Amino acid sequence: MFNILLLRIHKSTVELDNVDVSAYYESKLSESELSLKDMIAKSRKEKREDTHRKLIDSAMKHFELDGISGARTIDIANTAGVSHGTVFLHFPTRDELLVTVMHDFGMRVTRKMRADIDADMGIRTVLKTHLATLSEYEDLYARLISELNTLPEDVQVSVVSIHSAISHSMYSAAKTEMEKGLIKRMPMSFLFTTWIGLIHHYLQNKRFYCVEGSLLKKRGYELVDNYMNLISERNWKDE
Amino acid sequence: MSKICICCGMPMEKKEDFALGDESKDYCLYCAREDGSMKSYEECVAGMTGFLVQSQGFDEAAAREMAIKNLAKLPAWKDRN
Repeated sequence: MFNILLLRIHKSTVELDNVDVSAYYESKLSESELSLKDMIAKSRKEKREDTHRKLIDSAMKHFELDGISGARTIDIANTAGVSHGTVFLHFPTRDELLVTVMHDFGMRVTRKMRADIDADMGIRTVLKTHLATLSEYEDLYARLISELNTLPEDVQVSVVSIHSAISHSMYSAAKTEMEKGLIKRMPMSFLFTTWIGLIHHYLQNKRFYCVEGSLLKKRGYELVDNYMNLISERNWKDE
Repeated sequence: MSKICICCGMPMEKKEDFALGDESKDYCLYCAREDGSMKSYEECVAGMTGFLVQSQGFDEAAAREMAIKNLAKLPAWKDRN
């Protein structure tokens, strides 16, 4: 009798356990199915973002090496390790790829400039920061300014924005020095266009000024010194 | 904290780059009115036109055209008819 009762209790426990266990596992199963789906979706998203990134990096390299107008999408795909068709899954047209790459490049430059420049920095430090930033992308930037007038309008708009941001950073730094009489008073636009004109001339004719390596790294100090002498009320080398 | 201003596209890297220095805002100090509210589209076009003239010496008409093109793709204005 006792055994029967025990068996019944045991059975009911088992049955109860069975119900609980199966409900538990069903809920766990649906949770794991969900998380599996999430994981697959996440992994696909990450893979897509990774390919997107690789395509942008590869395009930057080819724009630098082969020219912005000359670079071929098949070469960009090969370097990124994807099929030619994949390029167009991410960027429906070559122009869209180009605009994205140049926008990305512009953001990197302006972000770095904004992060590295403080309000109390002098103009000389701002110029050096500008050159240090550009030197990281020197060949791409040289291609960009050489081909700018033939590139899609969106790229031209991006470059105009970058230039205004740089001009603003330069003037913010120069203003205090103008007020102290250290540098000549001049409009923001001339302070900028005189500087950028100088840099662009050297970059566009790099073959005459620097046969190998980075022009901005090798001769940047010379450009900064001479520009400072142009805008200064006194000779900066006397300091 | 790094965001892009939804009105003008300026990267906002530092606290002082944000409207009223408030990092929860999606627009920059230049796209905010004195009370901290976001400027209208026309105010932003005028502001950017003036900025292009001042910073690069552009002709006013060319600067306005460039300002309109620059704002066209930004989140605050891209769905504008």
